[in-house]
Amino acid sequence: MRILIDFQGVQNESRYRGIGRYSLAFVKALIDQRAHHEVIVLLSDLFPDTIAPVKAALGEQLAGCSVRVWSGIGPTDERKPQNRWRQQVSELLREAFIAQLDADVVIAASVVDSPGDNTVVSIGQLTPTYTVVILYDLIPLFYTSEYLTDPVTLDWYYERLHQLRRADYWLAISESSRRDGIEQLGLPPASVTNISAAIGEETVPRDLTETEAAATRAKFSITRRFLLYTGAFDPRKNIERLLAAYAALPTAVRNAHQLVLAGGMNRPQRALLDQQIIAAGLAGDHVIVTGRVSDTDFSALYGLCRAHILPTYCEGFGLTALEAMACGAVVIGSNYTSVPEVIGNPEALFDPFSVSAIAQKIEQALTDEAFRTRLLSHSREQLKQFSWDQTAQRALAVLEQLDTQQAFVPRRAAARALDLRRILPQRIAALPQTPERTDLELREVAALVAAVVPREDLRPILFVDITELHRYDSHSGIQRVVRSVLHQLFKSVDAAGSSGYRLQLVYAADGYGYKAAQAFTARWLGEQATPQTNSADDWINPHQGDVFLGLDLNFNIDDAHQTYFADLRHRGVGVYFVVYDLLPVLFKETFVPELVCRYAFWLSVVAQQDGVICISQAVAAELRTWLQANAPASLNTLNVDWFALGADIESSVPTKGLPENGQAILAQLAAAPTFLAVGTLEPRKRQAQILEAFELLWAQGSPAQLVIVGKQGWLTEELAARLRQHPQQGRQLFWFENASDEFLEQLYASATCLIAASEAEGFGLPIVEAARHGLPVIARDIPVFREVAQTHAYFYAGGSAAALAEAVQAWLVLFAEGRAPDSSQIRRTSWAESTRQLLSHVFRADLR
Amino acid sequence: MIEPFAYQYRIKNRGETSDVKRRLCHYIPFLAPIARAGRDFIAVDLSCGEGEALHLFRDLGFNPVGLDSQAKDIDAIDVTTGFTRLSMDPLEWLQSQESGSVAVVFSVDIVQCIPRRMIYEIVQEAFRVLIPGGLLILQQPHPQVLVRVPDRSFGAVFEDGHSTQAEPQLLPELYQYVGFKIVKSVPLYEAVSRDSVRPVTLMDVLSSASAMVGVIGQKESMNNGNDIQLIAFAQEYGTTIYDLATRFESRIQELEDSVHRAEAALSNIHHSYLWRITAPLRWIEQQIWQLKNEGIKERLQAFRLKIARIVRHKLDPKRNLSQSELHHKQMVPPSVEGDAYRSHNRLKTLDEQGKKIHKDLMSSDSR
Repeated sequence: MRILIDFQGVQNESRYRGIGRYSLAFVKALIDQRAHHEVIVLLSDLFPDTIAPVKAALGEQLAGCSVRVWSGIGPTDERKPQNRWRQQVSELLREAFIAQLDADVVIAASVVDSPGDNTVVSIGQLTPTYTVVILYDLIPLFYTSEYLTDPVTLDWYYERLHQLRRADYWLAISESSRRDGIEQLGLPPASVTNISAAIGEETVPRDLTETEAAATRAKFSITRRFLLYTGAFDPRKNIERLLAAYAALPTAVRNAHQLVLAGGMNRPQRALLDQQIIAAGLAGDHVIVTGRVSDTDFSALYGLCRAHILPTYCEGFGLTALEAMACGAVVIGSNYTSVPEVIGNPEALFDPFSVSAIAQKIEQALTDEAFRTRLLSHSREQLKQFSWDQTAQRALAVLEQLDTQQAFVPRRAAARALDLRRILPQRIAALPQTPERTDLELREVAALVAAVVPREDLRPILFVDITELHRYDSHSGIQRVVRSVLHQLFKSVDAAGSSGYRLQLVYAADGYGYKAAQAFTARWLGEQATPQTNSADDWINPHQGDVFLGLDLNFNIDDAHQTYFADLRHRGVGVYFVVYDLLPVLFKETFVPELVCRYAFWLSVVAQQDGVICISQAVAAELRTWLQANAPASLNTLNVDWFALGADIESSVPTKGLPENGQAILAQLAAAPTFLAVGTLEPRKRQAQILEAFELLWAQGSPAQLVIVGKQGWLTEELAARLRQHPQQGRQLFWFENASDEFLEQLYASATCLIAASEAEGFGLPIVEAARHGLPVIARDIPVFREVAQTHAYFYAGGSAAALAEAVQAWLVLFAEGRAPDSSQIRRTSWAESTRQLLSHVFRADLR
Repeated sequence: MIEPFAYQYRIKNRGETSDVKRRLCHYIPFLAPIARAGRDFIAVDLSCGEGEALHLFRDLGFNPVGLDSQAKDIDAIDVTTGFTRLSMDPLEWLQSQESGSVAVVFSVDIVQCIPRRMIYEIVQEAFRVLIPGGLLILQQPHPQVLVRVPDRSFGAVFEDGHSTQAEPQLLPELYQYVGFKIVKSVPLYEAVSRDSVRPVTLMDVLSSASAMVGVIGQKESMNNGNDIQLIAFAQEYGTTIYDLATRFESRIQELEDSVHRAEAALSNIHHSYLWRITAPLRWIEQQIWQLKNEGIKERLQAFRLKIARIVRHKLDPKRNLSQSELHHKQMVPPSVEGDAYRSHNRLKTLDEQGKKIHKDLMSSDSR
């Protein structure tokens, strides 16, 4: 089953109240218990500031579900007529979003809550998807004069109840709520199930130390044993009768026990309470009113109280009684609505409308030890019936049963058959308008509609980010990879014709948004009538099911890009990045600080996406280590994969030309053992060690020759000068700063052995190139070279010249005996295979 | 006679030493990587004046050398810092240097006060003496600023009688001609930054574009693969007069639009005059009623949402506005930022399909 959970109750004002706590705990348990079912958490971006906190609140459970965020247009508070249009548009957009998610069932975690904010919940206005709602309570309906005094809120409440009734199935949080739903709303009894509730993780039962107990007592000025009430101070909570009952206790009992009223209240409630306390003759330190109390203090008070009382005559689920029981308190409560089923012990109940009954029960709970023992042992049993796992299992059992009854299949099929492209704009256009509606709003709605309705061509699009290449082809190693992969991508898309996906090259615009590289693509494909300017390039609008692949390395990103990638993922677009190396963060000192900083930011953004494909296992391992230290949470949700780079040079365009005395040099090289080192002169590539090793060998009279190929890079002025002025230069030492691909090929062909001395690499292309010529390899023993060459190179360790000189001599002996490792065994991946591997990590199996 | 006046004029108009230093900061992204690439590289300021650039060079790790052929404000230099400071003609100095011995040749106000022939020779000599990867930086006034404000555009016009106003493309072309591989003009000292959102006035168009242009040439790249320099070279800098003119135009366009809207609104009022005239009364009554029933917190929240709507619809989708920028400028309270920024992004990235849907919605509207 694919289960979708509308999670607005954790985003809106209810997040501070029971509904928010219930939704969060319920969903976390549901994700834990989901088994083979798929859970999608649906958030609204009309509460933008809550998306990150909600994800954080889901914690470890985030790894077990996917989060999708739908977009509406606010403000939508439906109690105000000027919001009516936006609210209805948002309802349609939400349902369209649900429809294209193709779920079996939607659970609306709250339908009737939070007037006055941007909550948008409608049922069955557009999509026929099977909808289950959680039924909390109908308290305002019973006490309209108390809760629904103004006509606007009354209308709002009835409209919400109307939506509630449109659902297909109801999960009640208590038996009493279930009964109310059936009796008051006329819900079909067969379609309402009690899944109950449990205490949240904020209630931590534990034994207090003496000091902690004393501190808690001091904090609330508690001087004697006490009777505890926790909760709100609405009239239905029956506090006035509680005060009267407490006042009616025998004087000795009352003087030995204080009454502690803990919980937040507003100013009028506080004023009323003070009056009631005085009227009951309880002025002085008989009654302690704490005001709002922290979760820790609640747990402490539960643990310390002589008894806990819940005198309410109307409650959806008597949670505070359960919390107190969990903390080991003696609990008594009213025999109305849901309280009896929570306490589960008739002996502990009283009639909330009878002051004398309440007083009698209080006295018994405070003084009768036998009674107290019976209550405590009963509540230990009773507690076992309530846990979030059980609640989630009950809910899942209902869903599974509905599934076996084929309740979901026809609805899902009907939702799939919806022609959203036609219907959604039609429905929006048909809505009655408010005079305040502006054209910009309509334009924004158009953007939202475009993002949610399927495209004409239903195949998903692979968006490939080539920002750097698009700006400037610097012929760097990375761009060689990008060009080779692009070459293959176009080939595979062409070849298949009907391949499961479409290809779109894109590049980053300034700030938010990416554009389709239409002009670039035309130039790349060498199409005639090529548009030369990029100005006609349109914005891209990825949809659910598409993939965004950051192929090119563009780490110059800021918070706007971060937002963009988050938006893509919220829509259901898979976002993946290729990581070439971690050099800037691992070798900070050799890079400009600003670059290091930007690169680290880029990595941290990449870590928040769906997956990363590194260019070798070694880089993948380095990345995991870096993430462990810098963004450990991302390891729960981020896929770290790798793919092998291709080795066939045919796909890149080789450069031509030989130096003037090229043939003579090649002839000279062939005369003695020649060692080749390929790569830009850089400290980490350790050409200095190679040179020093050969100086040692030459001093011993070795005929070996050394050829260094590579331009001069940073921080190598000294080495470059040494090479230029070296007495062996032109005799046993050669440095080619600008060798063409053609000349390099010939060097590979005529050398005896390649030396790969680098201390840090993303891949190690020279080794693979040497392998193509069957040229043996001496390589430093680092993980990435082990990975590339496996056992088919001669490995050495150590940073000294002597270490390498020894290795060269040892290798020469092996070579003379014909026992040197055979590099032609090194596995060489083709770019076609390489690209296949890359795609396998970003696409579902059927689309590769 | 002229010299005491020229000195005073210069001091008065070029600003405090700290201002001059602040303006030099624009060059740090170009200079810092060079300084980091090696030890004790020589960086020369051909017209060092009070020596602010020498401080910067030293702080970056260069071995600074200052030249001042006029050498008339020698007292302004802090003798304790121990800079090499020579009373020498720039060209003579360059000619006396070995090839490939200097990392940076720099001057902020030499181009406009020497003859063109000499500019040519200086650039050519600079190219010779630079190390591979070294930089030549010459700054000159940008002619696009039609009305000059001293603070941003002072040139040393009194140094001698020449005051050559070189056209902006001369130097880059000259650089390339003598062999510089990477050349970039960096417009500087604009009064309206390229991504500011403040309304552009006519006076801005005349005077607030980048007042100076630093022409930077790099003698071949020092490194082929991971070219660190490219970060600074790849960025765009400054504000052009064209940008400002376009922004000014669009402001006028907006004004016209709002006049049209106001006219339309006025005609509506005429239609129901009595209803409209009593609106404030009804509004006040409603507000009092709501305040009484919903409480102050609720009303503040409603007010916040209202502001959010106003703000986001005032944002011009064509302009690139990042959230951090909104935040930085404290244009709106943080809670509104997100809303405004989201709407802005949606409108900005509206694609062809979105525009088509918008048209469809509009047309079915009018029906």
